Amino acid sequence: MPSRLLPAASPQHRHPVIGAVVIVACLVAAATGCGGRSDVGRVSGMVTLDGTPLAGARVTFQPTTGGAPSHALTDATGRYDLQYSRSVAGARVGDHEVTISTLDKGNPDADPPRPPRPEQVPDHYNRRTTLTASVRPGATTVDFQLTGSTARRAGDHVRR
Amino acid sequence: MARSATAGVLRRGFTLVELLVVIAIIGTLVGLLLPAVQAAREAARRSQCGNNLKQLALAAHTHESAQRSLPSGWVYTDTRTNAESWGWGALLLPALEQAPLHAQLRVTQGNLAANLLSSQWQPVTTGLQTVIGTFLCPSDVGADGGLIHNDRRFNGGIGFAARAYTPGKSNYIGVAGHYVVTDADRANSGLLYGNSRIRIAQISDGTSKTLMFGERDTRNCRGGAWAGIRNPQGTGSRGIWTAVGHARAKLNESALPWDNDPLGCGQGFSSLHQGGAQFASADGAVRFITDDIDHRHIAGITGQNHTDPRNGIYQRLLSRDDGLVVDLP
Repeated sequence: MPSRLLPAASPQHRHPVIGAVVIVACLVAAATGCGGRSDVGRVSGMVTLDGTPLAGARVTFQPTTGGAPSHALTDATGRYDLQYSRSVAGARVGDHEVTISTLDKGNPDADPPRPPRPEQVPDHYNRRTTLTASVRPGATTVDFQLTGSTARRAGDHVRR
Repeated sequence: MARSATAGVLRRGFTLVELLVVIAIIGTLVGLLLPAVQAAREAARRSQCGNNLKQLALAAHTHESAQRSLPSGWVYTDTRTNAESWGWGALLLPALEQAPLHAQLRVTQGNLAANLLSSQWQPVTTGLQTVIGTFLCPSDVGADGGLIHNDRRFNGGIGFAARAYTPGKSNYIGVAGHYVVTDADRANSGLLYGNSRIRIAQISDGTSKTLMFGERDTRNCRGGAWAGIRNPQGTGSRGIWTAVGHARAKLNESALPWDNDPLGCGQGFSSLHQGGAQFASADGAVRFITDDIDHRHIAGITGQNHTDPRNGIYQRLLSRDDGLVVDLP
C-alpha cells in the first residue's frame, strides 16, 4: 500500500499544511499584538526660532481635556518626535496646549554633567503659552515657527 | 514492504509532513502559552513588590506611633555640601526588624557623613552595603546585585572621599511633593522631605488620598538608596533624589536617555511594570497608578502653586494639603 505510506506525495494534502501555517502565523500575530493605541497619534515636526532650527528645546503637549502630557527634545536640526510613554510614541488625540522651552537647570550628576541652559524662547511660548495644536489619529506633523529670541534680553534670569 | 508483510504487521511511520504539522501545532500552543506564563510570573513579582511597599507603609505607621510623626524624608542636620545624610529608609530600620543594623550604623547618634568620618567607620561602611529585601522590587533585578546603580553611587560625598562604599539599593522612594526643591529651607508639599516629620493631622487631604511611597526602577531611572542621600544641597539626580521623588517628572518618564532627560526620570517615580507603577498611600493601602493618569504640573518658584486648581490628579495625589482632594483612581 504505497499510497498510504506516502500521503504527502498527493497534492490535495499540501493545502491543509499551508492553511495550518497561515493559522499559526495569525495566532502568533494575535497573541503578540501588533496594533497601536487608537487614542494616541504620532506627532513630529520642526521647531525654528527666528528662522533657525532650535536644538535641545523641550516640547510639551498638554491635553486640554486632561490626561498625560507628551514630551520631546528637539535634535540638532530642530526636529522633534513626541513620546507619550516609554513604549508609546505620540500624543493623545485631541486639542493640546503646547509649551516650548530651552530652560534647563542642568544636572551636575549626569555623565557627562549637563550644564544649565537659559531660556531662549519668549514666555508666551512656555510660561504663558498661547500655542495650541490638534492631534489626529494616525500621524500629525506640527511645525512651530517661533519669533523673538530672548537670548540677549537684559534682566531675563534663569528660573531656579 | 516484504519484511513487514512477512512479520504480519504493517510498520506505519510518520511522514515528514505529519511531523511538521505536529511541531507547528505544538509551537503554536507554546507560543500562545508563553506570554501568559511570563505575565503570570510578572504578576507574582508585582504582588511581592507591592507587599514590600505595604511593609514600608506599616513601618512608617509604627514610626508614627512611637515618635508621633512620620520619618523625615531625609535628615538635614549637616548643612555642608556633599554631606551624606540619612534618609527615611535608615530611620525606619527598627520598624523593619533591622534594629541591629540600625544600631550598627549609629543612625540616632550622628549623621551619615559624620559616622563615616569617625574612627568607628568600618561597621558603618559594611552596614551601608547591606542588601535588604524589603527595599528591592523583584520585577527590577538589575545587574547591580542589590547595591545602588553605578551612576548613583555616593562618590563625591565627603564621607565617600574618606571611605569608599556602595550603598544598598532601594526601589522605593518617598513622596517629597510638588516642588523640585533641594534643601530643607524650602518645605515641600508631600510627606517626606528634609526634616519633614509630618504628623498624621497635617495630612489634611486625607491619608487615603495622599501618596507616601512609590517605586523607582533601576534600568531606566537608576533606583535609589535606602540609606539616604548624597548631597542635601545637590541640584542633580544624586542630590536628594536617591531617597525621594517629586511630582514634576511624569510617572514612568518617556524613553529619553535618562541623563539627557529634561524632566528628570531619576527624580520622579517609575517602575518596570507594564503601564504604571505602585504607590503606598499614607493610610497604608497599595495602589497601582497607570502612567496615563492626568498629569499637569503647575510650576513656580514660590507661592502656593501646589494648590492651583489646574494641577493634574497625579500632582494632587502627591500633595498632602493642597485642598484639591481626589480619590485614588
